[in-house]
Amino acid sequence: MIKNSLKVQILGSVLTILIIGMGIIFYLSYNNLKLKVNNSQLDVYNQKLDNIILLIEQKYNVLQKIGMTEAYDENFKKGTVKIINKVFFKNSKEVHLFIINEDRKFIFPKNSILQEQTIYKNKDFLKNIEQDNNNFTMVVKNSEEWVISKHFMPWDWIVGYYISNDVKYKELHVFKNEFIITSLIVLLIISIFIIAIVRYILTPIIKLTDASKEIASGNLDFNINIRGSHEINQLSSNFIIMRDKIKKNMKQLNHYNEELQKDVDDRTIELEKSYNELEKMVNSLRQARDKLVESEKMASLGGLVAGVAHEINTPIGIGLTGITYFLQITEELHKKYEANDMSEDEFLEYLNESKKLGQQVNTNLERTAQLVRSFKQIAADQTSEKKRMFYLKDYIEEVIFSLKYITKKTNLEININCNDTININSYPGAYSQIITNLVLNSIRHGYKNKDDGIITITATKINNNIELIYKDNGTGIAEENLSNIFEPFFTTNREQGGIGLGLNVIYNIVTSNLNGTITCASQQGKGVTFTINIPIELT
Amino acid sequence: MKKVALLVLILSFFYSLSLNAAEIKKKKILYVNSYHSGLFWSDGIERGIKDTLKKSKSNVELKIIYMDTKNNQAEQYKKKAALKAKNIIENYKPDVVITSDDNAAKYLIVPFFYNSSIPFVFCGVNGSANEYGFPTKNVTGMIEVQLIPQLLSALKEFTRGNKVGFLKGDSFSTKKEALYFEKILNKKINKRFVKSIKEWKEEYLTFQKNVDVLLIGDSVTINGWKNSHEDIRNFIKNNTLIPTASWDSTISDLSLITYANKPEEQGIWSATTALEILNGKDISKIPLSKNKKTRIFVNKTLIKKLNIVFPFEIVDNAVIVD
Repeated sequence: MIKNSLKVQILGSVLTILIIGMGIIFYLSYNNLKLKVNNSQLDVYNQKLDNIILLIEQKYNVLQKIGMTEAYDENFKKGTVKIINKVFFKNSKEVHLFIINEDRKFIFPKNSILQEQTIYKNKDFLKNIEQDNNNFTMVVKNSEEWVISKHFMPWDWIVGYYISNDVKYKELHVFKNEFIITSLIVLLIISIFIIAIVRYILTPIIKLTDASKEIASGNLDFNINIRGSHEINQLSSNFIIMRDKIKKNMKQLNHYNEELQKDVDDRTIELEKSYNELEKMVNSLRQARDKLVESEKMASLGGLVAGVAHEINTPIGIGLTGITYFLQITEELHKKYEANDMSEDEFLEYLNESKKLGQQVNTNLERTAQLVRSFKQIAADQTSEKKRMFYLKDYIEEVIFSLKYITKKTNLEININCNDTININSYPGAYSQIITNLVLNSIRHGYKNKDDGIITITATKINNNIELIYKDNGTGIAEENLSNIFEPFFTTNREQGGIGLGLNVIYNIVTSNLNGTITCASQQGKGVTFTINIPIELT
Repeated sequence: MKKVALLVLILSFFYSLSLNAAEIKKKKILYVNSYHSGLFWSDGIERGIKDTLKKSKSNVELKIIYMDTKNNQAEQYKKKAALKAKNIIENYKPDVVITSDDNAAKYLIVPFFYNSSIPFVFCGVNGSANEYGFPTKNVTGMIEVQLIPQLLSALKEFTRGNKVGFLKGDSFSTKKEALYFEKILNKKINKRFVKSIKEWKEEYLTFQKNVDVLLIGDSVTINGWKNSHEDIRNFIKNNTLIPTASWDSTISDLSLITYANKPEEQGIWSATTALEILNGKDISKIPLSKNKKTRIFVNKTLIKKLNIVFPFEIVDNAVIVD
């Protein structure tokens, strides 16, 4: 197929070029030759007519020399026609000599009836024939006739030829036929040569193609014995070198393959081993992570407990001091009573003092009870995942209050903007953990190097969602870290003991537990804003 | 022995060279003209010979000698000129000799080379060669004849009858010529051989009345003939009443029509025949020939005077003279 295609392409291309070339040559040659034939025929027949006119002129001059013009006129004219007939007339059916006398009758050839009927009555002929040196073509009986004539004025004779264009262009037709035949022969010969040359050139190429197929199919021992031109020999030689090289490389490759396979097998075993170990490690890490998350949750709870302990320590201490003092003054009064050394004033002072102490202890115990109730609720929420109805603003305030043991060590002002009436049925522990972790995150990171700050928590009910915007004016988060903050174990504070789970826990609570979304916007030095959207009604 | 063989070889080589040289040696033709150079007739023959040899491209050498017997008509001179020519022939050793006119035939061929080994081709011998015994085994040639029958035939339609007159200066050859005319015409003609211009004029006038057509020849034997040419021309212009004819181109302006022989025809035939002989043709097998071509002259003055309308073919081929 390739062989035929290449042959056909080369043959087709060369023949097309040749045919176009020959066509151009033919066109130019034909027209050039036609012009030459026209000129040549014009010259030839002009010459012939000149000779005839010269002959007539000679006779006319002889007549003039004799002097007896009238007496000799008829004889001379007849004699002249006779001589013209003898010298110039050729009984040709294609080239016709004619002489028209002063009466515009055909006086030559003698039997010119045919000419009179066909030629002389032709309008073109009549119109043109009177012109001297005229040369024109007219159509007679569907055949083009070329007419050339000359006028011999002294006798008012018109001498001319009319010739069929076929005869006039006979050489041209011969040229055309010869050119076509020669062209066909040349094309045939060239075609044969091209086929032979292409075959000569292609045979080694086809052999090389076959060899390449054999080599491609893996038969590297295929015999490549190709002879042709220098280039083909070179190609064949290079092909053999290439084949041998491939053969050598293949052998080497196989060797490498075997080695590689062995290595791969070994590595596979090692990898499988490593994989199993890694899998175990991953499982361990997952467990560790879960534990860490849990411990993070517990850490906040622990903080809460520490806060509770701290908060209730004071009122309980005051209460204890008060009750201790009460016991002390009561003992002192009891001793005086037993010693009957007790005065009324002293008793009244004791009553007043004990009343004050009682009030003080009561106040502090109530305070402690309130604290315990509050912490108890938050602690319960944080450790349980129960859903309940709660007022959002109160709950936020309680969470903030529960963090007071931390926030009071700072100069942070925490503002809560929330409508009192927003009552939602959700998981308050989740809210608590979110706010606790955000506040702790601000304190640990945003205000690490800053003493004053304002944290604003804005909660708004928008349709069926709660939009919670948490904003601080701390140091903010570097832009390059923004995309990583919700990833587990990402922290910029590992040296100070950060484990990088705070925001991850928030992210998981918001997205998984509350079916919400959380985004963070921040600029270095300009604080951070978390926007949390949570559906009010959770299934 | 070897030296002898080498010598024989060298000699053989030079011998073959000499043979080749002989073979490529030019053939020689000698042309003996009875008259002299400058004469219309002689020059015409000579031109015919030269042109023919030139056209043939043969390797032939041509030598020409003149006997000059037109200017010197004395018998002794003619014999002396012939003898001189004979010596030249013997010294020159031509392969063929061409002669022109009667004197060369009569004074050179007949006395010295009749039946000799040298081939002779004559031309310009008037009327007949019988008197010289030609042809012989080494002589052939072209006889010069006047086309008188053709001439009279051309005039036939313009004559009243068929009486023919002959007028020319008196001489032996003129008489011979007249007799020859009678012979070829196969009839008696009215002949006048005159010796003076006066006599010529008288006879001319007489003939206008007595004959239907008059043949006139160039009467060079009449004293003062050449000098009286214009006078005679005027005489003729005024006194011609019948068609006159001539065979001498020299007097074509004195006759109505002239059929003059072409000297070139004689020269061409002679040279062609000589070449044939040089090429090996046997001269004894070449028959005598006669001239056939003519040069026509018509006198337009006499045409008008006699109101004659010649056929186109005659006028067209003729030289028109006044």
